[in-house]
Amino acid sequence: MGTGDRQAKLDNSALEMIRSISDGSDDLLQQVIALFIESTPPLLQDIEAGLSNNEMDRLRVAAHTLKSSAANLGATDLCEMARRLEAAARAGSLSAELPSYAAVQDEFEAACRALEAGLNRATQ
Amino acid sequence: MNAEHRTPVALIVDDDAMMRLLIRQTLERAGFACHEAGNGREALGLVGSYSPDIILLDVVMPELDGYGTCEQLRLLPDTSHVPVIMLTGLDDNDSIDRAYQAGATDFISKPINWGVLGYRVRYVMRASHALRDVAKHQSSLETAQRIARVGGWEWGIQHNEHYWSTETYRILGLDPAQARPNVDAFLACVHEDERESTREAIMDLVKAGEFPARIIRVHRPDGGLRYVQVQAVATLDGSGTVTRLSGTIQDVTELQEAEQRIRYLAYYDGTTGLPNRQSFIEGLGKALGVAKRHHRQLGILALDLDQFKRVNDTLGHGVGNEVLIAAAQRLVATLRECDVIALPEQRLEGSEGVARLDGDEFSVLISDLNHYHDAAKVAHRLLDELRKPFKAGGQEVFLTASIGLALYPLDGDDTDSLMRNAGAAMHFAKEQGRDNYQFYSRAMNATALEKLSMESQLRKALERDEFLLHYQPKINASTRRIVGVEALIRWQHPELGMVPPSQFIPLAEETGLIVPIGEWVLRSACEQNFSWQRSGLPQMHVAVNISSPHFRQGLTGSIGEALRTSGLDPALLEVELTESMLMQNVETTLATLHEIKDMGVRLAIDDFGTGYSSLSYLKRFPLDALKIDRSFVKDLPRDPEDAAITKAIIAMAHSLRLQVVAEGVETQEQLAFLQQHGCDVLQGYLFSRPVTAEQFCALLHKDLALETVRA
Repeated sequence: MGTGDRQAKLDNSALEMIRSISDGSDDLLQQVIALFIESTPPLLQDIEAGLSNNEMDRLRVAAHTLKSSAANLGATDLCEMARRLEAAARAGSLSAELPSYAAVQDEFEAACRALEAGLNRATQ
Repeated sequence: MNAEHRTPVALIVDDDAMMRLLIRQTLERAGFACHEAGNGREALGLVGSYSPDIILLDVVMPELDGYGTCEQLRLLPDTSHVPVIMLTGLDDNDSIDRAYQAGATDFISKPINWGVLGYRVRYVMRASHALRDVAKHQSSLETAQRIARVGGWEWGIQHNEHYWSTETYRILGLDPAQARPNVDAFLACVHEDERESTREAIMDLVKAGEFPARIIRVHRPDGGLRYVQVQAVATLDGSGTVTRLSGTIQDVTELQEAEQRIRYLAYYDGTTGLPNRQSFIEGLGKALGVAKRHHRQLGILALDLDQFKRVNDTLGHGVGNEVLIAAAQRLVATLRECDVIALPEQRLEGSEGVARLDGDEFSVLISDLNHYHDAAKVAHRLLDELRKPFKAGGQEVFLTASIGLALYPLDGDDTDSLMRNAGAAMHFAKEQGRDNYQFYSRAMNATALEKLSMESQLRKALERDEFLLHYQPKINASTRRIVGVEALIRWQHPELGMVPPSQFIPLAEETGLIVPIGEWVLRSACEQNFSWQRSGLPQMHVAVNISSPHFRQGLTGSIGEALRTSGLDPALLEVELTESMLMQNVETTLATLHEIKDMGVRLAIDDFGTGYSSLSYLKRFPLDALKIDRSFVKDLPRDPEDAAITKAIIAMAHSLRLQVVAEGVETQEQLAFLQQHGCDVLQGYLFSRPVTAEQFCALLHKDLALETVRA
């Protein structure tokens, strides 16, 4: 799904912040990115199920977690999508303007490509 | 104890592994040891084993969310005071409110600023520890106060704000929920006897900022009486005004009771309950101090029961002790009756001045002794009382005692010498055959005895009709005829013969016998004059000398009684009063004089010129006559001063329309001088010494015959 090679725009200051925690090394950043790539697909499944079955709690919790992990890595667009989904789920009304599951999935993959590319650049 | 001395432990509770990782990394760099929990339930299970110093808690978690977890953490004893930081969304004000409601210590909003997270967490933990330390100090202070029974209090004077610690309420037995802390509430607790002095001390404290620690008795609502020690310090502002008082209140009841017990053991004799030797020595020391300052005399009696050892030997120590106790009680009771111990502060505590020194040896302190014979009287009474049989061990026990007396300042001026000399006198009394008393100064023994026997004989003299009156005529200076008579008392003692008034009147005044004696004189003089009138002798007044005690104690009644029983015309009675008597209390004197005057009795002022007289008062007194004192007459007419005074008195008396009488006229020169200067009436050996009623009667007849001859 999606275009397959698009890289999401990242807020570099978030990544720098994480590097600073580990004294400028990328070890921590690598771990965090790995965790992001590993833990996000279950959240996306919850988001998909929540949207299609109107399970507001499931959607809210998954969107909330995605919101904060995306924010941590500077994936601002993904973070914004998750924020809108979480707010709608808390309000209990899903409208047509909400990002679709497919759009969130696509943005996640774009973010992953950008993070990996950034990491490779940094480690070269 | 202080968590800051070891590595602080943080528990990170978040369902998001990435968050846990980032937080952990950050906090470990900040010096924390970290543990993680993936959800609320897991966290609640871990707190017991990890004892975290701080907990970071995500709000949004499946199953048990952050709020529920925080509420439960607050209920656990291990974590009720552990700071909890909740991680909330930045855009979510509701979640922040709910976090605080759930008991969170603080919140950190996401996305987290990793650069400052470590500082935030450390700060929250320190603040929380500081708060906990304050609470702990407060509670350990309260615990310490409770253990020490010390309460604290504060009083802000300016705004009249009061604070009492829990222990202060407890000491006063008050309920903090009901009692308002203030001065009146405190004073209401204070024993009535000390309330005023305490109030004054508090006022002084507010004014001067000084409050010596004092022990105050307080009543507790449960009826208990407690001793509390109150101490205070004042805070002053720049102008020296007291703005705040703070202090302590301490329950010292047990201490006080122990002190009293120790004091009792140290100062009292366990058998009789009387003060012991130590107590007597201290009491005597104090009494000596007072006596020295006020120039008073003291009497010390050393009293030893005679042959008391025999009681112990024959009846046993049990009975011996019973007798000792009874003897002690008798001594106390007798001394109380004697009324010789004047001021309570000079009194040995609770004892009427008697102490048990040792075995059968007692000592009595008579403070404020007026005459040494008062000490003899006390000794006499004590001997009398001890002679009465004691009932002990089912039988009568007979005792006597020997007493030695030493006087301050005569026989010594310190405790040692006084007690030693009283003891020596007591041994002398034993040598004299026991059952008697002896003064340390031998000379006193004879005079004291004389005085004592004189007193008892004086009492009997009235009953035995040993008094009689002598009469001295008063002569008209120009006609040389008898115009009156002065009645003078004499004591015809069966053994001593005629006792002159100078020897028994002072004693009669001291003992109060002077009043009944005075009444007898008034009555007898009136009866005698009435009898002369009845027998047809010419009318003349009879003059009676009045004593000061009698003047102040029912003289008017005595005169009325004497006139009534005798039937004498009041105009034929004259009472002679001295200047000093009249000047004592002028208003009362004036009233008494008018009462007597209104009865028709003549009033004369005796011994004029020797005392202090105010002319303005003399003018107000309703007097009839004035008698010039014999001391002025004695050296007339040679002594120019006496001559001048006599002339002045005569002139002054005449200007006040008073008759002038000169006493002690013994020579023709005196007679001539007095006649020349207009003295009205004369009295003295030149005409006649005082004589018996019969002799006076004869004089009158001679006088009458003279008149007949002249006529």
